Amino acid sequence: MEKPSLAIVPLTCCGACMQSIYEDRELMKTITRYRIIYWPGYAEGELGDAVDAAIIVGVARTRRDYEAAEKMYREAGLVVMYGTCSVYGGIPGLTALVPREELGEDYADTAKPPAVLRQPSVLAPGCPPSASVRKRLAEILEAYLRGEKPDKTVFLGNTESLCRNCPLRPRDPGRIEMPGIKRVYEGVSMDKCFLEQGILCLGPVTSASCNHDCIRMGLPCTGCAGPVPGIDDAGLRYIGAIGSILMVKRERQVMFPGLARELDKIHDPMGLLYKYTLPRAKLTQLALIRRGLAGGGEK
Amino acid sequence: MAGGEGEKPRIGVFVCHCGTNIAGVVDVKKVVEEVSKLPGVVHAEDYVYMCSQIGQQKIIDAIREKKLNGVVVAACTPSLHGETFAKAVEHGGLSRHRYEFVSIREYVSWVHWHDRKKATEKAIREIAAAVAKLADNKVYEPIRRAVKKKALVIGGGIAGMTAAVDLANAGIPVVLVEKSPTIGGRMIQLSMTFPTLDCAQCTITPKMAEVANHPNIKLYTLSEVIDVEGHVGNYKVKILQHPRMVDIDECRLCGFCERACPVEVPNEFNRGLGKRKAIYLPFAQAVPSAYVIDAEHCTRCGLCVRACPVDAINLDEKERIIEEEVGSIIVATGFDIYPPENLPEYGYGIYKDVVDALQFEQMIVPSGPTRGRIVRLSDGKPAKTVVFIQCAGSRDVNHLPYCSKICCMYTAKQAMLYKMKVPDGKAYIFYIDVRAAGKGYEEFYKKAQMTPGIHYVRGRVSRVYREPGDDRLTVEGVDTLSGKLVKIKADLVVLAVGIVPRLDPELASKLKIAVDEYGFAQEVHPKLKPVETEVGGVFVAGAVQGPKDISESVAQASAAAAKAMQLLVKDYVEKEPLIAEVDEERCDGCGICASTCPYEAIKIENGKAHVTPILCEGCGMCVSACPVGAMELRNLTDKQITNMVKAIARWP
Amino acid sequence: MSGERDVLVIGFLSRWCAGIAAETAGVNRIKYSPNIVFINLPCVSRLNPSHVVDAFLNGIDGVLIGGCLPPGNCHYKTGNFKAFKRMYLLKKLMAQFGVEPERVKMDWFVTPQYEKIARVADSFVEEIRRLGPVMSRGEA
Repeated sequence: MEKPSLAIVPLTCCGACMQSIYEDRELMKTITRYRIIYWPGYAEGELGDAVDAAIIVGVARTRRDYEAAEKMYREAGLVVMYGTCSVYGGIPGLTALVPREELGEDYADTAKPPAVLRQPSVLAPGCPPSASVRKRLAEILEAYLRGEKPDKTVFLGNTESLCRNCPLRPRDPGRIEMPGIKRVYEGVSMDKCFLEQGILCLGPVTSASCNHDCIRMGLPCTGCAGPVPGIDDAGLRYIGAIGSILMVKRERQVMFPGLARELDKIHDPMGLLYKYTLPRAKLTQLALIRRGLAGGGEK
Repeated sequence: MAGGEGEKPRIGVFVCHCGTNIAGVVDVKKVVEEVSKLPGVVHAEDYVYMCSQIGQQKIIDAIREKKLNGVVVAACTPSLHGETFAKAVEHGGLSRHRYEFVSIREYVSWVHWHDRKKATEKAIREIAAAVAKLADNKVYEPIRRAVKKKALVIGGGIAGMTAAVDLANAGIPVVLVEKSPTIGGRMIQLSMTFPTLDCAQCTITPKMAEVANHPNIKLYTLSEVIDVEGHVGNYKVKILQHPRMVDIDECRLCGFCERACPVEVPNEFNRGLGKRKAIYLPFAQAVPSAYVIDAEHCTRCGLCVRACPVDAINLDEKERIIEEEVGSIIVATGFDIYPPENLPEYGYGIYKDVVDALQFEQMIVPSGPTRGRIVRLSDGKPAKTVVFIQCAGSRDVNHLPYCSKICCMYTAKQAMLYKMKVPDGKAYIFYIDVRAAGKGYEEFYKKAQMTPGIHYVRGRVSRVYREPGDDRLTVEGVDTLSGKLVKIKADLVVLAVGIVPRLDPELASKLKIAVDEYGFAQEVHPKLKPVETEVGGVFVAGAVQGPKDISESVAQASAAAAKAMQLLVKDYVEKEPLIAEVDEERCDGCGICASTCPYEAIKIENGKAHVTPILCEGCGMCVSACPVGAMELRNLTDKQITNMVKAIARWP
Repeated sequence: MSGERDVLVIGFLSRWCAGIAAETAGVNRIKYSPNIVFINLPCVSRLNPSHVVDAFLNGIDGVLIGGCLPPGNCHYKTGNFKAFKRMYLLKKLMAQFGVEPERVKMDWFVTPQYEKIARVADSFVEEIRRLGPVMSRGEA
């Protein structure tokens, strides 16, 4: 039997995900057991029709992106979304609300992660995906070589939030209080939860697919691995969480104006909450509908 | 029971006309027609008075005949007939959780009578929302928790003793915790009580004896509550008992120890007017009736140990921690007087002849430090002129902004008692207003005012001082009625000091009860729930809740005891089960829910949140706090709220 | 459906204060706009920001949140503060998405303020009319 064919299809992306594949020997070993028919930089050529498996990297922003993604969904038996951009939008997804007119003829109306266009076989989030995610992806690709295909979408990220096993424990998890809102440059300490220090850390809503690398380095989570699966809009959820613990012991003293002053320190809530997930935000959907465009929602 | 999970909704909608109250504005026929089309609705009807017997029967019959598993009643308002229809629904064999009430009178017809068409539309939208919500309502059993049939009373003053005896007489075991070596509180320090001039000690000592001998009361003196855990019906309490160093059962009150003791300190019982030893009997009728060693001042010389004929003294006794489990707690920690040292303009602490009201009480008592004689403390000469200064510290923005309530009456009493002791003496009473609201109080005050030799002067005292070479004090003030400056030469000045709560903030926070800006315990509602605190099963009694005289304290203590009884006679505490619920699969144990819960009903254990059902009040604050959506509020889930919104938006 | 349609507003009320005020408005026959539909909640802190956005996505043009007047009136002690923080941040976020933050309004009540709730409902409906529909309903 002939080896199955594989296309690795970069949409709008930064290239780091590609690099992460190149650098993973085990994953490369599996990938090269396929007949690679398309992978810019590795196997040059046109994206043909007969594809058995596809790995899609990046967000769909240009018309060509959408066409390529649609084609892969149509043709390939196994469609892998590799990297946060393809699953949630990622950094290039921040262009979701930039009108096409400002970008040029080649662009579509909005940016959409290809994962929402149809039902993919595998979701492998991460910016770029971590070693454990890549390992599980290699296993799935191996199995597919044997003719085994997942019967429903497989999520390779961690289903738990960063808080679950965070190295920075709150002193008492029943009494977390954000004393106010602070920026990282104002100084962080490595002996307690960032939230308790007033640092806006997206850990509570973010999937722990990343080994807490940033937190170990003294940086709060910005959400790069995407939300914990099952949350309908992580940004809005996060507002609920922050609203619960911000100055929770001083509410009656500072009253509404005091709380508002503190919240005004969040200058760019959109950037904070949707740095990697903007195309999937409910408000993006609403904003697009209001412009007469189809909402870029889930499913 | 119908309405289980997975069952297809079979909802009946019942629209009330309320005579013309609703039907005069809302087109009820159109409402019935439209709501019949809603998904899940299998029956819809209207009736002129749904709350009537016939109307209720319609609901019951429809549940049975149409096999309904959900009922929506659109009528007046749930506060009026919510319960009526809930009972009807239960009568029909459905759980009340499978029923929703929609207010189309107060919320629609009575406010939108100017636009019938839109009022009708709005009624339909509201019903559609209820139908959408009801589809996902589940049936829950009430939450029950066994009740510990025992009460803790903190404070052994008249309020605490009254509450303890009331409970004990009802057959409920009581643990009474008192900080000092004896019960009796403030009242035992008093001479006579207004307005009847009964002897305070004679009134209270039988109560003390009752406490001492009651088989249902366990008394811990020299004790403090140091830890409280649990919730309504089930509290675990830790009590720290300081060593008395004298065996209560062995002590024969012979007093040999006291005579042997070389250490003399001011006696707090008469506010330092007299002295006592380091081993002492607080007062003759103290309960428990035994000597006690003041650990702070005892030098451990051992003379008392040698003097004691029954070997009742053990200087090595250690403090101990006692654990008790109780169902209810009554806080009756009482009051202190406002520190008169804070009022230097009245000369307290500077001149021996300026005393506070409690000291004066002790001077009246025949067994007191002056043997009942009213004399100048500086030289022991009889006090022929006494000036009473009311509102000493009270109604003063620099001290206590509030009225201490009891001072007008006790000053009138003290002036009258003084006149009985010193018939030729003169008493001057400086006052702002006289507040004598109470049964027999005004009459009592009038009697004082009419007593020859008692002069009420309306005005404040500016200062009290001694002129050089004068053995008397000069009290300078203004008589605001004549507008004249008054100077009175006084042998004795009595400060009618105000009262402050005696509630250790740490104890309040352990009990999780709220205090007001002055430190008084905060009741839930000043009129309707005056003895309840925000914490279930914890009640307050006496002056710890606000300034009170004895009769009010006793009344409140009995009220608190009655409230505790209502709880403790039950086998279970039961509550509405519509509380928050954790999906443990999804919970990551971040603790944000627990940190926001106003009732500390959520605990993080083994990395997962756990709701203590009996503590949860069902506000849903935690549900919208959960970053991963692992928390839900029963029968008001995120999905249900969104479905209600959708139903409102979708029609027509 | 065209943008000409009249606006529809939802008011989420705390059932202990604003809810009772709304009921009392009924008892006193205080008329107000029928374009507002109330949903009673145990506490406005039950409301998740996503309920508000969901409302807009379903064509609800404005969301009023009626909680208990701070500081001391919240039935659940501090629910009003929780709701305030969440909605305040949500409004800031909405502005960034080009969705008028005025479409969310918070106000605070004690139970006797039945005239206030009618007045607030009316002025909010007027404000939303001025802004126009959030979108053509039924498109989402």
